[in-house]
Parts: sequence; structure tokens; C-alpha cells
Amino acid sequence: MRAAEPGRSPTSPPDQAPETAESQLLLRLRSGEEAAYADFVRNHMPRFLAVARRLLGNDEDARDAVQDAFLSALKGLGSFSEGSRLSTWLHRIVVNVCLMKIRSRKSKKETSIEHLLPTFLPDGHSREPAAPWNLPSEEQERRETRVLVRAMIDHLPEGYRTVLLLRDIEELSGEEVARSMDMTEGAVKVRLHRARQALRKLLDPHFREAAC
Amino acid sequence: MLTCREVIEFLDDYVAGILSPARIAEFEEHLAVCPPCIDYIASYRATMELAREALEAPAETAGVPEELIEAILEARKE
Repeated sequence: MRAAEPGRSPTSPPDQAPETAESQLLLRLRSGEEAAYADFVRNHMPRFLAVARRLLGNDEDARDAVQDAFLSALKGLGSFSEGSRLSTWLHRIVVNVCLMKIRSRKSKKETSIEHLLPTFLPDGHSREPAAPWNLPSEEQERRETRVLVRAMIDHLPEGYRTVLLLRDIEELSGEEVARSMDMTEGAVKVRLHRARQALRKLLDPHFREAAC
Repeated sequence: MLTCREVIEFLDDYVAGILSPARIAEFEEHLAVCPPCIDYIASYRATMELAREALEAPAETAGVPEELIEAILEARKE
């Protein structure tokens, strides 16, 4: 479940639909009401700071990105189209600001992912046959698993990690990711599949059932 | 019959449910005789779910940094 209720202002009645709350907030924003700016930023901050932290991997860059994104959004409210959701529009802005930051710091060569992909024998059989996984069920173990999974995601090469986050977590379409990352949709698809396979391989030793 | 390599190559489309019925039938023919590929698919799906759980969780507990909100509202006025 997401933390923020997109479009719901702290001053909105609790039984008001998010869409209604959002259109009222938009009216207040467009009329220049100072409290509406504060509501807009405060209401969306937790979710979008979390998005930026996921994409950028550290708090300082995430705060910078969120600040840039909110300022850009507040200045560009005139270009917001009534047919879409404010939160969706802001999400795109945050993602694009984060991607710009990633591009600007990407000076070193991308590391290879080949060693994390499955390998096959000449006849097409798997070289390392998979085994069943034992997944944790107790809450304490699940918390530890979340920490482990986040650490393993951080092991992925940045270009793969970013595609995995944008497609599987932020739920952008392949077309949107392709446009944002200046890639073809086909390349995004291949990269996503490889990122999932690589993450599976990194997690495998932790969850693989011990052989009898 | 498909090989393990082909099954894993098209696995993203299989998981997304966008394979043609003919291709799904080929998948199932392979899976009927290849338990490791069944395990691979289950762990691939689990990987996607674990990633979602791990990365969505911080948003539930993230605080609201007041000083950042104030900085944004101040900068907007400039």
C-alpha cells in the first residue's frame, strides 16, 4: 500500500473521493492560495521522496531531486492537463528529474550482468538446474528478507536496476521507460528480463531449499 | 519441444500472460517433463514479488521532512 493518499489534502473531509479532493486542490493551487502549495507538497512528499530514494539510492540526492521536481511542478501547473491525475503527473516529473541526475553522474562504464544470467549446455538444458525456494513466513524473517532484497537490488548494474525499478515498482509502461531513458522498447524489455533473472540469481543461495 | 533456454528466454512474456496459445502449449509441454524449469518460473515470480515488497515498504514508514517542505515553499517564492 502506498503511504500517501494521492490528491487528498490534510484539510479534505475524510469521506471525500481522492479525485474530488484533487480537483479542489488544483483549483486552490491555480488561484495562488499559499496554504494549497503547502498541502500539495506535504501530501505528496512521503511517496515521492520514497520514489527518489529508490531510484537514486541515497537520501541527499533524493531530497535534491524531490525539491527540483516540486519546484518544476509548481511552476508548471499551467501545463497540467485536467484529464490526468495530479499525482500521476507529479510522479512522471519526479522520475524524470531522478533520471537526469542518474545520467549526469553516470561517467563510469556500466558493469556487465552476464555472470548473473542463466547458462545452458549446448543442447539447451540449464547448466545449473533451479531448485524450489523456501520463502519466509514470519514477520521478523520477512523484515530481514526485505533488507536482503534491497541490498541485492543495489548489486545490479545501474542501468538494469533503474529499468527494474521503473517497470516493476513504479509501474511505468515499456514505452514510457523507453522514452525516459532514450532506449527502444525492445531494449527495455530485454533489460527488464535480464534484471529479474540477475536478481533471481543473487537471491537463489538465500532461499534455495537445501538438497536432501 | 522447447528447450530450457527457450523457456527462460520467453519467460517474461509467459509471466506477463502475453504468449500466444500455441506458445503456451509448447511451454506446458516442456514444463510437464522439466521440474527445474517449474522451479525457475516460481522463483522468477517470487523475485518480482520480493522486489515489490522490499521497495514499497519504506514508503509506508517514511516521515515527512518539514525542513525540506519549508525549503521548497520558500524557493517557490523566489
